[in-house]
Amino acid sequence: MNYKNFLLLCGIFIHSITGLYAQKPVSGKVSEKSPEGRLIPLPFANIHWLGTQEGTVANESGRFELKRSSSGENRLVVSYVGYINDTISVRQNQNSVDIVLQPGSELGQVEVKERMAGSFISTLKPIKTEVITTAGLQKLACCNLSESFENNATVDVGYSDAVTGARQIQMLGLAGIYSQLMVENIPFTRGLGSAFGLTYIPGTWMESIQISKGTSSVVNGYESTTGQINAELRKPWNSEKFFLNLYASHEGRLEANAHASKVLKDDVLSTLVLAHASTHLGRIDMNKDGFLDQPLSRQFNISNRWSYEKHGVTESKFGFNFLIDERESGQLTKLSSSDAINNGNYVVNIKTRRAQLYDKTGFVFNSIPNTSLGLIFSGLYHEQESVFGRNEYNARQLGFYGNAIFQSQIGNENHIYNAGVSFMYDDYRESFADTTFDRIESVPGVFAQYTYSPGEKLNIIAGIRMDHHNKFGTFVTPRFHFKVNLFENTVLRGSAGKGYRSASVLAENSGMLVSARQLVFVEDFKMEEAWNLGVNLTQTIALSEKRNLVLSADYYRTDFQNQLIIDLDQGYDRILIYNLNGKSYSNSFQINADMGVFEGFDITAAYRLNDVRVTTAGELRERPLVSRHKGLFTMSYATRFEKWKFDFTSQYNGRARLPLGVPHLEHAGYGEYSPGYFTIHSQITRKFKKWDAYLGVENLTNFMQHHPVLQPESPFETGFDAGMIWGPLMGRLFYAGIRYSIK
Amino acid sequence: MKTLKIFITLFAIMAFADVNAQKATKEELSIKVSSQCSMCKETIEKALAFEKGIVEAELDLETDIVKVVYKSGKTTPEKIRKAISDVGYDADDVPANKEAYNNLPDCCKKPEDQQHDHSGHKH
Repeated sequence: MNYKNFLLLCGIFIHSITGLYAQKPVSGKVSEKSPEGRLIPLPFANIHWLGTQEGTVANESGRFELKRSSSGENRLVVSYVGYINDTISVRQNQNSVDIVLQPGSELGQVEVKERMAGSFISTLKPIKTEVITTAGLQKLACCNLSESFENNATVDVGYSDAVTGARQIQMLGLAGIYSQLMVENIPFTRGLGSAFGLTYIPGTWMESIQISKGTSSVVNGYESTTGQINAELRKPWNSEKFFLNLYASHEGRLEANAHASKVLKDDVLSTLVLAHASTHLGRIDMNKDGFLDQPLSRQFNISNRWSYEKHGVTESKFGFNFLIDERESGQLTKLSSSDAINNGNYVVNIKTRRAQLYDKTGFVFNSIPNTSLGLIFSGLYHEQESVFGRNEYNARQLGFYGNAIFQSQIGNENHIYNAGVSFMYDDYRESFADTTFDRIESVPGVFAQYTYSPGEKLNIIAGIRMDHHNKFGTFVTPRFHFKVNLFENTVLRGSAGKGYRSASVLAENSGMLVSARQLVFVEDFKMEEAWNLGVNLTQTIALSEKRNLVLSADYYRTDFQNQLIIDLDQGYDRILIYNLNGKSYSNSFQINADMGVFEGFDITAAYRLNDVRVTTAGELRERPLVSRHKGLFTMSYATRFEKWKFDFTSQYNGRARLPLGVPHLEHAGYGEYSPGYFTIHSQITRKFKKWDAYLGVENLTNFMQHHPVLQPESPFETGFDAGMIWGPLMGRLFYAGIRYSIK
Repeated sequence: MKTLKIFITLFAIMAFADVNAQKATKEELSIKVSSQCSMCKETIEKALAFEKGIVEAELDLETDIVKVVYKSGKTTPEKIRKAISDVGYDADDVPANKEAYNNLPDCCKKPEDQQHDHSGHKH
């Protein structure tokens, strides 16, 4: 979220050894984590039972032994000058604790982990954050960020259209553009990256993904109305020396990922190269409509990351990414692209080049505790040349993002404030058919945020920012978050805030480009603007020493003051694009249960209700192509040391309203709504000494949306539409692959 | 479907490799190792779990003795000691692999080698 995130990954690792006698003394070790992940003991740390005088001091190797508290208090406070105090609960039958303290910089960032589950809800962060770990990412071996959410109920992923292979996410029932997608806390898919950005981050490159619902901190900008997704990539200082992943699917997708890292100087300089190449060769047309189900594609993607550190003084992370992505699709089941075009077929051809440079530097000021300055810069070049049938769409974006964040405390560590300035600059050249959308967006901004955390039980964050957009003027973004531990294992959180964004309408709605509907731009766009409010409750129930049942429930409401409406309800031959005139809102309610059934076996069950309505064609209606009910069930079983791993995910997606006045949908047998459907994904992984092998299946029940392309026989005439997508476009898919690593 | 069959066959082979190995006779072995903490226990037991021919391995931190059950046809006591050495621990008279030892977390090193580097922090 700011500088704290590129400080060390920190946490408390509690290693429990089941003792024979419950009242044995508690022994343990206090350490800190070095930048490359080694644990270094902290000698002479203070340890005492909360609220008592019963305590001890660790020895010179950080080890200690302490009798159980006579008061029955089970919370152990560990303190050490220059480090953040930690309070941890020690269970009756737990005799050993290993404690990792974090250098004094930030509160509320401590995560308690036992066996690394595939995903967990952090109970200590003030903003509710779901974390998908590396283990979770490996459960779905294919392929990139867009596939990482299959076993998560918070984020939905669907296809944008039936031709290009573009994926889009949804949070709270609203399109992914209303959430902020970041990579290492740098905005990633703004502007032209919206359509295919999710496929630009290969799965193996990621270390973890953090998902938070509702508005996030003002430090990261004014976007993120419905939520924030941050993907952390692998780190130069703790990655495998060499890693290789090879993947193949039975429909002809081949993929290779190779990583290599080197520590050039211990604790100071390290580098990592991530490389990805993939291709889709299979010409698949399961529904025999003459259109490929998946585009033929090639992607080459490389990233070089560097880390420099002067311990306790400065840290810098910098690097670049470069990507080439080419895809061809449409009526290409038999012919090559050029032959198909000569033949008068409908062909889509998209070539993308993208380069990004970034630098994040942090300075720690040792004179005042908790004081640091973080600077983030990133530069982007994104170019897309494409043909959609008989229309050309060409676009280019030159972007700059800069953010400077100062952090310090007022009096003591209970009062932390952040303040800073940011600047976003984007130069777009965009043309579709004979219309151009060239524009420059330049947005300087200032922000301030105050965090009050008087103890473990309460956190309050209040932030405000003011930005000036060169086209839309000055606007203010207030945001507020709180977290309160109602009881020891019950956490209540709430958030309220505003979000804004300016739309890149063509890039964000690729479905419009693969349709013969006429695009009618009714008026000039205004900035999109919405309020978001949410509450959530998380209850942890200890089932045994190592197993928990975590229940959570949340409710979020988003209310648009202005939204860019893509109105599909005014007849099958047109799309009207205009500013909201009436109401547009989303109510999203979700319950989640995660349970460790026995050692190695976890299950998750979730249900979500989205009530999303928008005013189109003059009336408030259900937002089209958004399903109202969703259910999720996952099972995961791993033998000891994860030698064998079995993962199973099933999803139910309820019916979605179909756009009005489309006779082809009626001819295809659909009424007002699409049918609801189940999907099943499953994977088996076998781990060996240096490599893993996996075999999996996606969409086992083989449910597919019939007629994803409307009127495929005459794609250049009114009625052709490949943008009405509510279900899976790919049938049952088997895949297998290996991962090889040298530590 | 052809590719699918190949995938399934490959996996069947992997599974079978495990089952097949159980025909050899099981033997027990105790090895004294240079473990320090619960983290070492995890490292050693994990390393042995992925060694060929090893059925079970458990380290007692009180005595620093790891009890290994292995299949005599598949591995030898020498190979098992080497596997422990390879992750950075002494195993009976086989000294720890130097590079692996240096890469161990500090708390897993022998007490005389543990450093207390806190330069850059105020005390």
